[in-house]
Amino acid sequence: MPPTLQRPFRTIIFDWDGTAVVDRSEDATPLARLIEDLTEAGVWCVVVTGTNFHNIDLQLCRHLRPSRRRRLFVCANRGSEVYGFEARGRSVVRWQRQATPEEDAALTAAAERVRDYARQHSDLEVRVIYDRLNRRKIDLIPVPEWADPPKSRIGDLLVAVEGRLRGGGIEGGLREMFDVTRRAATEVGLLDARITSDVKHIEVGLTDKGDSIDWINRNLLAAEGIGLSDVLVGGDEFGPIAGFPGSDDLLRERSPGAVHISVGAEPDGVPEGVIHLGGGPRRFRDVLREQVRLHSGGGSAAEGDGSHPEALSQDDMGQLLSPTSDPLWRFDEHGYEPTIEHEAESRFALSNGFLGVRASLDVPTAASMPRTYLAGLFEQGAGEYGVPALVPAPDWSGLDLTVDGQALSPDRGEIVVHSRTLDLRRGVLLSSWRHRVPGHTVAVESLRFASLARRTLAGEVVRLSVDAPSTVQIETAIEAHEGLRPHSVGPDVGVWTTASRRAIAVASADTLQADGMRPRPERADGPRRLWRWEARPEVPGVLQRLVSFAWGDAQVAEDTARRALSDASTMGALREHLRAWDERWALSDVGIEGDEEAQRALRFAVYHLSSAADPHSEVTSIGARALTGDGYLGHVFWDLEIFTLPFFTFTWPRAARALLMYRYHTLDGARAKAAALGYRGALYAWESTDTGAETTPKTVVGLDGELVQILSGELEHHVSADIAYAVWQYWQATGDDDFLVSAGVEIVLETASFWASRAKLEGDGRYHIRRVIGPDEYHEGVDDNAYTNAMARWNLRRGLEVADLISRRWPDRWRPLVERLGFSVEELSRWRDVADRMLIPFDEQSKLYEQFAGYFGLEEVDLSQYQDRVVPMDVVLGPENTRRTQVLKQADVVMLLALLDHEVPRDVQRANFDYYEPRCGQGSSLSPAMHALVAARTGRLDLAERFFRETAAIDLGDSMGNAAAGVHIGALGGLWMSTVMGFGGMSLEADGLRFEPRLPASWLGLRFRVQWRGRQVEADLRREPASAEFRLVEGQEMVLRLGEATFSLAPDRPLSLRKDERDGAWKETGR
Amino acid sequence: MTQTATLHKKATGSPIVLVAWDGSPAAARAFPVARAIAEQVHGAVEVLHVCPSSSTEADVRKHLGRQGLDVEHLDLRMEVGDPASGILAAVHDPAVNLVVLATHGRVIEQGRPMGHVAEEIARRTSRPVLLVRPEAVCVHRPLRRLMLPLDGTPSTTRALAPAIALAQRLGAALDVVHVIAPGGRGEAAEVGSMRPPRYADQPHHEWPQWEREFLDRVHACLGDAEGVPSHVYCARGPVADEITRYARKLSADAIVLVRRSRMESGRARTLRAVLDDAPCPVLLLGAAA
Repeated sequence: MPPTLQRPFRTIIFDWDGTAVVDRSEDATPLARLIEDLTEAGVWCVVVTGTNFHNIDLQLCRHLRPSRRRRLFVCANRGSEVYGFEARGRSVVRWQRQATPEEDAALTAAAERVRDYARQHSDLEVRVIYDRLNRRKIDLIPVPEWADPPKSRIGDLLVAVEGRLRGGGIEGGLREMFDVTRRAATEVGLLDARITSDVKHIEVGLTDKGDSIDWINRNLLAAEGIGLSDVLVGGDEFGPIAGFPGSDDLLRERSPGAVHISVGAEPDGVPEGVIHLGGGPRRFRDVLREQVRLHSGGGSAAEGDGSHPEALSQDDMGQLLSPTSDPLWRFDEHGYEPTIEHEAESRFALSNGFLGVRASLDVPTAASMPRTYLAGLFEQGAGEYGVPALVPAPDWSGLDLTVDGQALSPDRGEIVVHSRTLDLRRGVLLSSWRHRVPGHTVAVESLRFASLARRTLAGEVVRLSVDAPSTVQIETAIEAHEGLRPHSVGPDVGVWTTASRRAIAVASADTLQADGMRPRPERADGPRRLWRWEARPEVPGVLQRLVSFAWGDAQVAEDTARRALSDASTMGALREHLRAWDERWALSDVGIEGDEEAQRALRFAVYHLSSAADPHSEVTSIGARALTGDGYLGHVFWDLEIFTLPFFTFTWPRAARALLMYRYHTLDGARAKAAALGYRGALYAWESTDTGAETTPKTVVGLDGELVQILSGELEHHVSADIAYAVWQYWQATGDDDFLVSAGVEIVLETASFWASRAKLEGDGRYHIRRVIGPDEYHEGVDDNAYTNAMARWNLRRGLEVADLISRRWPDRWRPLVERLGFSVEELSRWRDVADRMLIPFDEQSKLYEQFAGYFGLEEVDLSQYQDRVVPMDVVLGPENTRRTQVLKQADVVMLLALLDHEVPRDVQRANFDYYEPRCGQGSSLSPAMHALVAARTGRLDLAERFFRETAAIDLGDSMGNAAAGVHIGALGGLWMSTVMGFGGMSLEADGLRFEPRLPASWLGLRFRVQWRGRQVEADLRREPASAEFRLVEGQEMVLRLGEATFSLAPDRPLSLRKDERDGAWKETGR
Repeated sequence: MTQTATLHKKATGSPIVLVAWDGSPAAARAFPVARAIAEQVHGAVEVLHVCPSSSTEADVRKHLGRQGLDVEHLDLRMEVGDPASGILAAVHDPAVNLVVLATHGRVIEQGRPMGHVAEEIARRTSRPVLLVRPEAVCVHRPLRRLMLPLDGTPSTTRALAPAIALAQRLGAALDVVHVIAPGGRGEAAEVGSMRPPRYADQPHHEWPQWEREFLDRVHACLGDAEGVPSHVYCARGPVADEITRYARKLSADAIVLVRRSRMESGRARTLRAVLDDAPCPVLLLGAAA
C-alpha cells in the first residue's frame, strides 16, 4: 500500500460501478462489512454514482446494519440526489435537484436532437433513454453484445463505439457526438448543461458528480470540521477517455487537497496527483480493509504490526482460545455445578480497577450472577440498612445460543465437556463447552478480558462450532439490572440512570464472522443483536465483542463510552491488554520453588491485586471484595491501607499513590466525622464509599432476627492511624516528595490532630484512649487498646516529624498549610506531650502488652477444645460470653508487632506472639496472614506456613463459604505481605531495604521483585543452604542489609550472599 | 374392598387432602389440619377410614360426628384391610395431593414418637406425608410458615422439592434453618455444600451475604423456588433440639423433614426426636427404604 494511504482518513468518497463493485449483480456483502467497520470506527462513507439510489440500496445499503448506515451518504443520479439515513437506518433524501417541466422538456429535446443528428448523418440506430432524473442518455451502441459492458472492458468498448460511429458515417466518432450534444443543449436553452460520457452513452443533464462533491463539502465536511486532507476519493475513471475527461475527474476537481486513488484500468493514464492502483473493486476493498485496520489502532502496515482481526487463522484463533499450558499460571474449574457457580464467578473474575466482570457463564443459567461493577459507582440507600452500595452496571457478558431451534444451556441437554480457566499469565478468562442436544454436538469456546491497558474496555471472543450443518442463532444484549432506568438506549450506546440520576453508559460493538463472511445481524433491536446463519462443521462462527463503560453525567458518559470504542477493536484491545499484563507480571510476579500449591496461591493473589487497582483514578479505592462481587457493598475498610497497599507500594507505586489520594480526597468526610464526635482533625470512616462519610450502619438484624448494635463505625478509630501509617510507608518506600508535600502531609497532620484530641490526660499522668474497638472486634468499647494507643502514638510522632520536615524543606508550602489547618506551635508541642505520655499497656516482667485494660483478667479459653468448630468463636460462645473471655477475633497485639517491627524488640515480639496466638480464634479473614508474617519474622516457621496456607485457602478453598460474594482482597494482600515481608523478611530502612529470609520447610526458593525509590530490586532467596542473590534491575546504587551486614547493590553488579552457618552472618560468596 | 362415598361433589381437578382416621380421637386431631390446608388450596378433604372388618358408612359418620366433626361436609373413603397398606395406597393415588395422618391412633406407645402405622408409612413411601402429633396441635391455622431445617448439602436440599411446590401452592413462606451440629463438618464434603463462614470479618455484611448465598444455592438445587418468600437462620446445637426450638421460636406451622436413613430401630434419630417434641405438624419427605 503506498505510504500516502497508510494513515486513517475521516471520510471516504467513492464511485460505485467499476470502483466499489464490478457490476450491479456482484454480491456487495464483503464491501458492506468493510463499510460497517469503517462507519463503526467513525469514518464517513460517501457513494457517488450516476445510477439511482434504488440500485445502491439493493446492492449495498440493505446489507448494512441499520445502526451502521448513519455515517453513509449516497449521492445518486449523477449529482441530482443525496440520500442519508436516520437513526433507525431508514433512508432519507437529504437533497434533490428537481428539474422544472421546461428543463425536462429541454433535456428531452436536446437528446432527441442528438438522436436525429445520428440518423441524419449515418445509418446507425442510437437510442434515447428518457427515464433518468434530470438527464437523458443517448445509447451509442444499443446492441445486445454491449448491453451492459463491465468497466473492465472499457478499452474494448471504446474501440467498438468508435468503430461503430465512424463505420456508420460519423467520422468524428465519439468526439463528434459529444460536440453535437453540447450544441444541442445550448440550442434548447440549457446553458449550464452537463455533458458526460461513459463511452457507451452520452448524457445530457442538469447535474454531475461535481455537484455531489459540492454538497458533501458544504454539508458534511464543513459541518464535521473535516479538512479535505482527511478525505480519500476513490474512482476508476479519472484519466481521459477518447480525449474526454474521465467521469470521476469531476470528483478530483471539486476536492482539491484530498487523496485520490484510481482502481480502474485507466488506459490513457491518470491526471497528476491521482494514485493509480488499478486492480478494480478488489483492490479498492484492500484499501478499505487497510483503513479499517488503521482505524482499529493497528498502526501502520509498514511497522509490521499484527493482521486485521478478521484475518486470524483457525490456528491463531485456537492458540488464542487455549489457556497457558503451565499449570502454575492457571486455575481450572471443570464441569458445571450450579451450587458453586457463584464461587467460580468470584474466583475467576476479571477486573482492571475501573470495571470488574464476574466470570459468569457465556450462556448464563438460573444459578448465574453475572455482574459488571464500575469503581466508585455508589448509590445511596442501595445496600442493606439504607447505606450506600456499589450498584452493578448493565450486564453485557451473556449470550443466547440456539442451534436448529434448540436453545443451548448448561442446565439442559447433555454437557460433554465444560471447563473454565483463569489464565493468570494473560489476565483472561477462557471457557470450553461441548454440549450435546438431539442431533448435534456444539462446541463453544470463549475468551473474555477486562482491559488492563484501557480500563473502560472489556471484550470477548467466542468461537462456535457444530458437527453437522445447522442453523445457528446467536444473540447479544446489554441488559440493565433492576433499579436502573433506561435513559437513551440505542444500538451502539445505551445510557441508564440510577435513582439518584447517575448515568451509566455502555457502548458496544459486536461483529460476527461466519462461513467466511460477516453476516449482518438479522435483528438489531436497541442493545440486542441477533445473527442467524447456516453453519457448516468445518467453518466455525467467531463472535467478537467489545464494550466500553462510563458513568457520571448522561451526555458526558455517553460521549466517553462512544469515544472509547471509536478507535478500538476487540483484537486490538486484546493485544494491548496482553502487553499490559506482561508488563505487570514482569514487575510483580512472585516465584516459589518447591511448593506448587503456594506458587499458584501467590499468583492468584498477585493477579487479583493487580486487577483491583486503577492507577489513574484518585477518587476511587478498592472495596473489601474489590470489583469481584457485591460482598461488603463495595465499602472500603482499613484492610486497604494495612493489608493491600503494601503490595502496590512495593510493586506498583503509581497505583499506591492513586489509592492514597482517595484518602486525601475524602479528608473532608473524615474531618466531619471527627467533628461530629467532638474531636479535632480527621477520623476516617470505618466504612468509606465515595465521599468519605461514615457508612457503617448503626443497627442490623442479627442471625436470630434480633436487632444488633454495630459499634465499629462509632468506636473503631485505629483506621485513622492505619491510613497515616500507609502514607508514611509509601513515602519512605518511594521517596515521592511531591505526594508528601501536596497530600500526604495533610493526612498525617490531620490524623495526628485527631489523636491529640482523642487521648485524655488522666490522674495517673498518662494519656488514655478509652472506649474503642481494636482490630479484635469481639471486645467492644475497651479502654487503652494496645494497638490503638501504640498506633496513635506513632501517628503523633510522625505528625511531628513531617511538620519538622516540611517546615524546613518546603517552608513556602508549610506556612499556608498550617494556616489553613489552624495549627499552632502550642498544638504541636501538645502532640509531643500526648505521644510521650500515651499509655501503652505493657508488663515489663512478662514483656507482654496487655491487649486492653483488664484483658489479662478475662477468662481463659482453651481453643484447642474447639478445633472442630465450623463457625467463628463468637458464634460458638455467643457475643456476650465471648466478651468475657480472652478469645480474640484476629491479630491485635500481633498486628502491633507486624506494623511496628522497628519499635518492638524481637524477644518481646516472640513473647507476645506466643501468648496471643493460642488465644486467637482467627475469626477474620485478615488474621491468618498477619500471624504468618509475625510467625515467620519470629522464627515460628511451621506455624507461619500453616497460617500462610490458611490464608491461601480463604478464597481458593472457600473455607469461609463466602467467596461467592467476591474474593477477599485484604487476605490476598496479606498473603503477599506474609511472603515478601514475612518469609522474605523485607522491611524498610532509612537508606535502603533490609531482608531477613526465613523460608518454610517446603520451599526451596523464593523470588520476587520490589521497588524502592526509583529502583527495581530482584531478590532470589534459597533455603538450603541459606543464600540470596540480589540484582538491581533498574536505578542507582542502593544499600541492602541482611542481619548485621550492610551491602551495596549496584547496577550490573548482582550480590550473591550466603549465610554463614557458624555465626549466622550474611557474607558475599567468594569472599 | 374400597368403598367411596361422596356426599359433596368436588370440582374436577380440585386438590384432595386426604386424612387418615382409625376412629380414634387422637387420629381425629389431624382433621382440622387437613381442613385448613384444603381451604388454603381451595381443595377438598377426604377421610380415609381403613379397618380390618367392614363397617357401614352410617356407622363411620356417626362415629365421626361423636368426635365433634362436621360429617355433612366430609367425603369419605372406606376400605377394608390392613390400615398401613390402605393408607399407602392412598398416598400413591395420583388423585390425592397430600395425605395427613396422626402419628398415633388408638394405641399410644410410650417412648415411641410414632405409632406402628405411621412408622410403616414413613418407612415405605417417598411421597410427602404430613404427620400430626396429636398432643401438639392446639391451634389449627393455615400453613403460612414452613420451616425447612437444612444441613447445607445439595442432596438434602434437592429432596425438598415437594415442599417448595407445596409452599408455592399454599402461598407459604419458607424459614430455612441451617442447623450446624457440634463437630458436624463431615457433611460439608459434598460438592456444593454450604458451610457457615468460619471467619466473619464484619458480621453485619457477612451474615446477610451468607444468607443470600444459602438461599441462592437452595434455589439452584430446587430450580423453581423463585417467588417463595424465604429467610435463613443459622442454628447451632444438637440438631433435633434446634429444629424444635426454632419451630417454636419462629411459630412454624409445619416442619419439613427429609428422611435420610431407614426407619429401623435406632435409625432416623433426628426424625424421631423431632416428632417427639415438634410443636407443629411435620411434613416428611424422602426416598423409600
